[in-house]
Amino acid sequence: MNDWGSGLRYQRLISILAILSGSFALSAHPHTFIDYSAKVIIDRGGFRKIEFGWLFDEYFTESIVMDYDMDHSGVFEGAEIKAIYDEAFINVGCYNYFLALTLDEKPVTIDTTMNFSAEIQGDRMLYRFTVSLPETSAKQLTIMSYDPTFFVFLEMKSLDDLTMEHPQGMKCDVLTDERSIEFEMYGELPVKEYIIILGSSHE
Amino acid sequence: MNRFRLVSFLILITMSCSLIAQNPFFSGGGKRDTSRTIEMPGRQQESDGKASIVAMCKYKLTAIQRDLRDALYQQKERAGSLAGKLYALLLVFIYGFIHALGPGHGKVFISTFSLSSGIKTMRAVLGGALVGMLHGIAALLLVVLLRLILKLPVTRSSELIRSHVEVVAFVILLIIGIVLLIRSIGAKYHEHSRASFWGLVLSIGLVPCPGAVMITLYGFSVLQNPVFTVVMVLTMGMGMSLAISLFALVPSLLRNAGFLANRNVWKGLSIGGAILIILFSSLYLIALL
Repeated sequence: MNDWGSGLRYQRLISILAILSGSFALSAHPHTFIDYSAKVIIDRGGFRKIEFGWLFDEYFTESIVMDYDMDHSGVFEGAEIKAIYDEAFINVGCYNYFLALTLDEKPVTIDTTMNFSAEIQGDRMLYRFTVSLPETSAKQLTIMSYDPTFFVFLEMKSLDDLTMEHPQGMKCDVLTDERSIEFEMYGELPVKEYIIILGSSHE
Repeated sequence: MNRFRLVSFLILITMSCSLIAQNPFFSGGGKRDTSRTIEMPGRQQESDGKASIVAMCKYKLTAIQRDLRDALYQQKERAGSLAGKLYALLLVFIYGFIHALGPGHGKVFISTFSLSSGIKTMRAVLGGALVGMLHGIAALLLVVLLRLILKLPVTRSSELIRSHVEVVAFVILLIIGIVLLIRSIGAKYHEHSRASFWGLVLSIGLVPCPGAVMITLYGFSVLQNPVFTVVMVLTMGMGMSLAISLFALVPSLLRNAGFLANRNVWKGLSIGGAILIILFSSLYLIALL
């Protein structure tokens, strides 16, 4: 009995170690950091699209510049942007562009993006792209952005990075919340959620 | 000689298989790799409660990593002076330590082996340290190979190779787990094979650390100082070594605390450890393939 008791104790210990070590992946995460911004476009019918900006860290920027600024001009031009789109952006669609969006609590799947651009701003690179939202009369939009594999860490640095463009006379409130998300193999982490509500009490 | 053959075999396998990418930006080859589409959890799938203390700690570790990387990048102006270099080395050492404390680096394999086998504490610690150094050296060699010799795009190619090596490493870990299990079932009270341990260390260590790849690129491209780049990557490797060694040391000390005098407990632990290694490597392979 004693043996079994000790054995179980050690099994538990192994489990705890497994959890403490975070995962069984062979390379630690995250490796890329993005400060993201969002501009929500609203018309009389409701939420229409969101223009996102991803400002990458200096290291990822350096690696992309090295590989894609072929003429070393310090500016990404036509063919270079196309190559970046094809080789270093489009696949993020497999991860819903790191976006968990809902309209009146219903999840939004993003099939494609529009107006992709990549530019260098000092030591950092900025991707811009636009996401169209399905035409609904939804009154509430929620935005969370994270990479479920935790390879990339996305963060909105300040609430100033979330802006709204809406017709005159229309009001909207922005609330923030923090949700606990289960990441693939890395367990739970807190993620900021932004809730935009149309037709608030201010209206 | 047998040990040498086994290690050589593992290295050969590690270096020669098909490519699977993990960096979400770089797989797909010019189109969406829909075979690997991952559903973003919607709001309805999230837990209701607030983040736990563990989650907040992981978040903090991530924030610290970012601050360290930022501080290191800002050092580019001062990297010509001795003080600037020393400060940069301090930053990469701490970054390596914190980076390896976070998820990954195969710590669970090292811990499990260290706890469930009869391997000596010093050897377990050295193994952990070797994993950290190898992670850095593999990254350095990868960048040199791609950038200086093959003249290939570094980011995309290194991700492809790294993830390829990672898949192969998990296959090797799976094989090691099976070998350990077979031996444990019929074993008397004795050490697991040293060759298995060093095979495990090599298969984990040969996966280049993307963090070290970035530091290497920073050194070569931004600082444009190859010698200092090598020193930085080795210093980062030392930081990773310290963290991974702790994950080898603690279970080993616990194991030697005297609980395992009983042969049946020992055998149960050995079998349990082998099963865990099989389980972890299989799960990860399933997730990757």
